[in-house]
Amino acid sequence: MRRLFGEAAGSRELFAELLKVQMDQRYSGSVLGFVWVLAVPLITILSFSIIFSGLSGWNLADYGVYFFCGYVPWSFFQASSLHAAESIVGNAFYATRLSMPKQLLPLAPVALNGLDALITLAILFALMPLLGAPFHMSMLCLPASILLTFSAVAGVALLCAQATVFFRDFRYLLSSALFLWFFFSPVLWKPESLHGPLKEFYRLNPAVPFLELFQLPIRQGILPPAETWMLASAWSVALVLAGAISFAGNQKRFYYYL
Amino acid sequence: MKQSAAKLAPRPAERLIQLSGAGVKYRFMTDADLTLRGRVANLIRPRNGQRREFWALKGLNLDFSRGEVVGLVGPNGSGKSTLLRLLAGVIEPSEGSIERPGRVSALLEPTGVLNGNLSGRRNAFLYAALNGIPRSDMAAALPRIEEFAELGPFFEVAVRTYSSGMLARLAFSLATQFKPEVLLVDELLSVGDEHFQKKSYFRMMKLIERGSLVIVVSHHLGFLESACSRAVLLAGGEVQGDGPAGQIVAAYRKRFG
Repeated sequence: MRRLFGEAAGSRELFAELLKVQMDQRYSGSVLGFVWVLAVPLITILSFSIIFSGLSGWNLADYGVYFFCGYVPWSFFQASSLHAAESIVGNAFYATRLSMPKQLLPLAPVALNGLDALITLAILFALMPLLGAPFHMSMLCLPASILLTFSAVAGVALLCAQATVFFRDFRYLLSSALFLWFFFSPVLWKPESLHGPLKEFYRLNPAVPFLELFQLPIRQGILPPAETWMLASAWSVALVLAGAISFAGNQKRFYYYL
Repeated sequence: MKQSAAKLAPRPAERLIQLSGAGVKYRFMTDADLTLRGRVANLIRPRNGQRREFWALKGLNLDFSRGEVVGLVGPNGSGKSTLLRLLAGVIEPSEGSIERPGRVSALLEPTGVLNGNLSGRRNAFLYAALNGIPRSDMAAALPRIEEFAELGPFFEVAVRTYSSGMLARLAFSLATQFKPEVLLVDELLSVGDEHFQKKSYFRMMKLIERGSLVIVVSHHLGFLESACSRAVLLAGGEVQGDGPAGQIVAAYRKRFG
């Protein structure tokens, strides 16, 4: 595992080049190019906010900020997982013709989607005064929130990339699972709206502590409680270890499945 | 072109690659083996009685030294390309061991690792990054790469529009520019025209003079006889002959020609 991280750290130029290639491929075919990075989340957030604030009777601006806070980490997780799942199978010509650190292939889309998430977060900060949402001191904890989320997503990316090498239909399962998971996670709905046993059980969802790391400091202006930090840290460490250890053990077998 | 490689090459001395009892085992993969659904179905109703594995290479004991030009010959499916991938570090042996140096430049297919959506220039920088060559070194070498590849304005165009000869010129130019310790070439030289083959031959001879080890897979026996100092005959994944290129090529012709 140490070798896995060592190789990745020693391949910064290759990582940068893979990022550039992915950016080219992502934006060169579209008329609006990089503008899509801004347009897609804005359109999503605006449409979801209008529909769901209307349905639930919440104030549009407040609901918009709440949804934005959850949507940024969720879309980062969702897009990174889906892109990482395709990363080795889709770049089989590298993995089968070159001796290269293969872990860079799933980590590159994580970095690229992480950049998109940071840009989207910056848009939220720009819109907050217009929506009447104040800035809070608690938002100073966001770098730690981002770091924990990024680690967890990197671990998931390594797992998804391997799974698709061994099981080509994993990507379809993943896509469906993420769709369902989104509706079971407090992104569109607020935990306060839950009643009875649901209020206890929803915290078993691993996405909850990561969403709270953004929702509590930005919307409610409070620091996430120690329990949230501990849960998010435990998930991050477990996912990074699971992803890295399994990747280090399995990567020699990739060639035979590609 | 007619000059013998054996005369140009220095006496082989320092061993660069050593294979000790190396073998590579492949599994027959069906679509069912590559899906979760198929694997679950196989657990419920196992498919018995099928031979699921085969050895593409078996028990190879080979040494390759600095300054050698080695041709790999053998019929289709004999394990030549698998051996090149093993030497390149793309696959690890299923049994035995391999020792190889750090700087191996491999041209395993005419397109190599060229990305079809990128221009020749962008591919050059990607190639540098993939092979651990500093970006500044690649930037300095670009004019020489461009000149050797003779692509003209196509150097700025996506390589998916290139002919096979253009792809081969660019791939060979990139692989040989940085004087690798080991150069592995799989059938690439048969892709280009006579002019390219001549240029490539002289570029390879220069590498050999500088002490590189060159290992070539080709079905062009005349080329192997003239360019290689040594040849290895593979059949059924095992070494059937190893010696002077002329002698091994003659043995190959007699057995499989």
